[in-house]
Amino acid sequence: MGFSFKDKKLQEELSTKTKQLEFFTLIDNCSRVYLPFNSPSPVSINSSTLDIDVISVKLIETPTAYSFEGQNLSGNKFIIDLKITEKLLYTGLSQCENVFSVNNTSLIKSIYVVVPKEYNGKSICKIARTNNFLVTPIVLDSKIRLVDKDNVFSYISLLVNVTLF
Amino acid sequence: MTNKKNDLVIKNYCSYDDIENFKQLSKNFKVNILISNPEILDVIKDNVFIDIVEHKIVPSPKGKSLEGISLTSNMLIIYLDINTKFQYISLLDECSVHTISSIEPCIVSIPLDDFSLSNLGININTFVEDVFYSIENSRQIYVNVTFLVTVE
Repeated sequence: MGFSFKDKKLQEELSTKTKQLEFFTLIDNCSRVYLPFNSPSPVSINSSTLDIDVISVKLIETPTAYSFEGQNLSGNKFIIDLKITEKLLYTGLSQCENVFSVNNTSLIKSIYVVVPKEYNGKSICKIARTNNFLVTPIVLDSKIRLVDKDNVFSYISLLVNVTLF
Repeated sequence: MTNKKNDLVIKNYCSYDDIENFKQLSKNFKVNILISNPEILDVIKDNVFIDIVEHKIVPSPKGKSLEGISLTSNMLIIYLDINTKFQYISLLDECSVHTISSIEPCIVSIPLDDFSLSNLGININTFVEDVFYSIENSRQIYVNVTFLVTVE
């Protein structure tokens, strides 16, 4: 599976303006999918749809530090709340092999992206206040795995990029 | 209820000095005891091992973040299963011993070096460094597994 950009504009913007990403973070999320109590046991997974919404973005101040591990804190961070909605279609164990769907919407992630104090001569506070930034979640990979009738696992690997203008 | 922590066990992966691609992870989850099993009094023994289910290489954008994360054009995605098995004493009058096991999914993404796809010799190792568990209530155990994933 390749990239899943939300629309073509973002894809063009990422490919032309930001050849080298500057402000981003990687998150890996995996969870257990809970099927409804009354629905039959799954036999096979037919398809899954993934939608990622940015709920809120806020700017916070942090200490300026550089760890021995290589992690750098510049003094400002964007805290980004993401809501990951996953819709799953599966075939149930019944005589006529009905197809059921389940929404796995309980995945809310709070992540952070380190941003500089100044960008192109403008302070980051001004950029945040005037909304001159774009948060782009990119799905690197996703997978639904049916282990047995009780265990359905969902794996998502995400790259969240912040573009400053 | 008592909190228990494992003794420090020195693993033999210290000889891996020149690892370049690795990731340190910590995963916490809860293990529920089924209604068919008796309630828990204390844990006698824990056994945690990690299975590599699948791995794949996906393309990714290039870049180096301000935080220090480097991305090359290839990303290795590894799907893991954390298998836990606990042997416990039950709350029954005869203090019988039972086991409870569970599987917890995990995904790891590791940026690779400039990698030619013809070179498929990838060796993935996982090392469980620490297992912490605490009995939350008579039907639930909180588990935290710290592990290292290396790629050669």
